[in-house]
Amino acid sequence: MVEMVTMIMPETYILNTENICKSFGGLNALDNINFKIKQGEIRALIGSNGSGKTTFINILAGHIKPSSGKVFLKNSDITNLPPHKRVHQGIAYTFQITNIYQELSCLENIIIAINGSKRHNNKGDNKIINLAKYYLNKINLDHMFDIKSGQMSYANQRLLEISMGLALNPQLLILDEPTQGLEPDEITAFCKLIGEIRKTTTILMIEHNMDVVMQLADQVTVFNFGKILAEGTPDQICSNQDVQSAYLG
Amino acid sequence: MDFWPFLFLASLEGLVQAAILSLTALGLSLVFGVMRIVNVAHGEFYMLGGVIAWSIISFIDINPALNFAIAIVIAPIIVAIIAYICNILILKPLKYKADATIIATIGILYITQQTALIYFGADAKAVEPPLYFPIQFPWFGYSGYKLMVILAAIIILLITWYIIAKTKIGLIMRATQLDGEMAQVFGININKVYAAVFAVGAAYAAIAAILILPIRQAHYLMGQDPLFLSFIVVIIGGLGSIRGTIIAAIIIGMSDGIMSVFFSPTMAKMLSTIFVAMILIVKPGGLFGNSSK
Amino acid sequence: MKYSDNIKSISLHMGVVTALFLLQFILPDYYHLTITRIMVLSVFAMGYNLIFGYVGLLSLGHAMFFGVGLYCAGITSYYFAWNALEAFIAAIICGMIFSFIIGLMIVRTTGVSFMIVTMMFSQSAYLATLYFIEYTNGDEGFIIPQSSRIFFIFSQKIDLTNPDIRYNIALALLAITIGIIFKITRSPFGLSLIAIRENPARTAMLGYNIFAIKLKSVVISGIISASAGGAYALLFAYVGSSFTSIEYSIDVMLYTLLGGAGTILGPIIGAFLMFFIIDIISGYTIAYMIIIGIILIFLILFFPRGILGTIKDKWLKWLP
Repeated sequence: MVEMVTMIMPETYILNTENICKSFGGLNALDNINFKIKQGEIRALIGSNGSGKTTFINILAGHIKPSSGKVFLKNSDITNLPPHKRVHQGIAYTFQITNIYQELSCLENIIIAINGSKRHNNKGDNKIINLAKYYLNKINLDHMFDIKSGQMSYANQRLLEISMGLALNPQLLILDEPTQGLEPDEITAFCKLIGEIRKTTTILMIEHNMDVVMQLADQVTVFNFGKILAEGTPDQICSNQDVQSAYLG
Repeated sequence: MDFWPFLFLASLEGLVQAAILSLTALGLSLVFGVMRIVNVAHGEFYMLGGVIAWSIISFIDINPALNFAIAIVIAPIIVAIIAYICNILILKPLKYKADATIIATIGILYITQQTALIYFGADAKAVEPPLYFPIQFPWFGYSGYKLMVILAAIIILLITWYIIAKTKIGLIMRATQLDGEMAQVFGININKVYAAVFAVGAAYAAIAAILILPIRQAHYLMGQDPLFLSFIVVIIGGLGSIRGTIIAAIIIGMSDGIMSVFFSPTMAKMLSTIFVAMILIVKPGGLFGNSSK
Repeated sequence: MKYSDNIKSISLHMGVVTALFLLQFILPDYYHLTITRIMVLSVFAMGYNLIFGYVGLLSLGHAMFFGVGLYCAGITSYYFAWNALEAFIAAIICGMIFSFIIGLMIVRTTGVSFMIVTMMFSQSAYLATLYFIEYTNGDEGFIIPQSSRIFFIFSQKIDLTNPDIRYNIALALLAITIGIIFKITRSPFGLSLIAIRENPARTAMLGYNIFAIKLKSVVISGIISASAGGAYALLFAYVGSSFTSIEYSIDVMLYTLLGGAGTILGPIIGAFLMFFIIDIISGYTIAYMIIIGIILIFLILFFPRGILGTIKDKWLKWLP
């Protein structure tokens, strides 16, 4: 599958960064990160806490400004775009800690995402509601559309969070530890969902669960002390000596 | 009078104003710094201090010095108890949420102010100074009591500084101010700290009002200007910072007199209000920091 | 969102307007003036509610927007002899410009800073009305001349000294405001306001420009408040600085809290109730404002969602 994508679009990077550096009060959180991700890929970021991966995706999403360096989306410089404009360009970000509108219904949660994205042509109340139901259907929550999202189970809230990311109709979906706190059977369902999503969207995710990484990722990037330690297929990463000594232990 | 003696007189008056203001603002600043709430009723605790002290003084009526001495001990305690009750009944159940507490303290403001109106009436009431000894400068005589006020404020501020910087109570307060949750982990009962700080903050305002009582008069609306000025002082001085609060109080207190010479008082108030609002806008995170959540 | 809910809420609001229209034929004349006044204040409260109830921005200085409308209408009719219609339009335009400029500044702040900054700007506006006493006559205020209060639309004479006309003009303003707020709550923009109230950080990450949306809501709220101020000046022919005071900002917050923040009809219910409560209490004591304090604390402690908010939570979920 990876090979196929590579053959069709040999040099198209959906997103790449040039020499990203970030320091917090003299501390180098990120040091010269040059990162590329191809269209259609599933990329996993791994690394211990404080390795800089969260800072990195926050820079991609526009939460944090890099100290120096540039971020490109399909070769156009987005380094200075505020978060909401990056969303309009097709970067969606889902939070590590579930961050939905607890007081609103599932349907309203999705509709807010659809309205915000500016990436749908659908106009008119009914069309938007149908579209929202389509996204709820993708996560098998369409029967709960009327329920206050805060009253659902944690797993369903996580799914809703991802579905809101999808409803932005993104080119690149960034997931921050999506399986955290999920039960094994819920993780299986999640992996199936990602298999569906990847048909339309490039995925970049921070993930600690190595089983999930092995199963889903095409490529893995390992962060260590603010630098990219290694990059390669899951198998390559597993057998990499540096990674083993630094991370997998 | 020549210019320099006049400036000297104006500075003395400014210092009295600064002394009162730093005590009042310190109370507000403590409450905001430690509890992260904006107490709009702070001016009313000031007013209560003044009005209750007047009642005590006219009730005892032995001699001016003794009356005053008793009032300045008892009235702040009564005000602190009232503040304590307000905290337990109203602020604590609201979990000290920013918007809920600001609305609640507006409610406390109305209730105290209007209760004072019912019981003390709308007239201003004067208090005799506890001591009379005019100090004769070469150019004019000056009230010795006013110098006493400055001195008293300095002593109270020094004691406060000592308690906060050097004692265990101060350490607990500073820990709570830095991180309430963390303080709880270390076994500090933050509810007790909050209750104490709120009561003490109110007592500071009360003491300030009683000190000024022989110079100005007790009135049910006397808390409005101090509240307004304290806000300005606390915002400019940086929140919770005692040094900043006192420096700002001296600047504002001194310049209040001087500004009024150049502008009309209304104009001076207007400009300083806009100025302070602009500070908050330009540095919203800097001064009110984490309070926004 | 359901179609039947839409019908229900549209009929409810039409019903309220109709009921207020019919009320004038039942009530004794004395109450006409009171209800006219309450309806204008309700418009003000609805403007306030837009940013307090829907966006979650606690403004402590909304009287400045009301005051801009009030003084703009008052000054243009008093000094330039503009007729009431022209003066009212001027009030709306001034309200728009003023709230845009103020909005650019206040929207940069959040939480406690927002509350204090709005209070301070409002206080400056109040002080300005005292400072320019030459023109405003400060606390005493001034009376708008009768000549400005009679004007013609399509050669139809409209006389604002006539109580029935005043009543129906206030009702029309109220109905238009209900319509505008209703329309907003049903629009994507309205949903984005609630999204910002519930979770600003999340909303930015869903493609919303928080600053622009907040600014827009402050401007709409400012225009509605200024229109209430303009209408108040012209209908009651009086302009004074007390309308820009902090107390006036607190009053409108109280109406909204009491009736239910974040509901369309809440501020109207709150305004009516408070008006009559104060009317009754002030018969007994000069310190009638004590009741405002007691109700504020009672509401915030036990009924933070207000009357309609509680009803909405418990029984009528479709209530907008």
